[in-house]
Amino acid sequence: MLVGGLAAVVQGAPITTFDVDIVHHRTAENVHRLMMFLAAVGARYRNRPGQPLPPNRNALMGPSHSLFVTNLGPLDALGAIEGGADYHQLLPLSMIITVAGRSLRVLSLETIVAFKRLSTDAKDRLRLPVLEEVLRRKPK
Amino acid sequence: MGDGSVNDSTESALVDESLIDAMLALNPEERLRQNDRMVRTVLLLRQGFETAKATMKAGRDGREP
Repeated sequence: MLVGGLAAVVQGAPITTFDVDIVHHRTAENVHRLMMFLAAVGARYRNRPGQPLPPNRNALMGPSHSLFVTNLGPLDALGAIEGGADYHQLLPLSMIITVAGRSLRVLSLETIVAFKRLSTDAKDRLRLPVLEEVLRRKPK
Repeated sequence: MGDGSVNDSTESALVDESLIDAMLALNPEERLRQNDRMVRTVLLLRQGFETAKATMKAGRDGREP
């Protein structure tokens, strides 16, 4: 499920974001599929000095944040986000959007805004007025 | 918020409503492409800034960059 800045962009927010944030379904089968994808795009942990570290299955099975750099750009695989909300809890707060003929599950802008309102992160506070205005102007 | 005047609140001064309307008029795919274009532009500007910095430093040091 796409969350974060890019999820807001897909829903019409005129912001620019460099990384892709996802919350993944933490089942063994799905994490296996995610590992295969991560290997295909050359994912390794970012901000780790020394030898490049490949994705770790146990880390991806947990609620922590795995921050990768890939051949396509930065990708954050989040086991859970604000308040420990995981894929299951976010599912009813998401929607399917079609992009390039493919279905993409995206966290709703309403939920993104609700999370950002609670955030103390300076970047989130800065973007909040834009996201709120998009919500107001977005056709229902 | 919303009359577009420069005297709106500080918060609304951060929001360009015409940009929001332009983005909402696009489909999801076009919005992603727009983000990609902006990312490339930002990276290009950063690169240009770094090059300019290196050139200026080299000029101060009296050598070619």
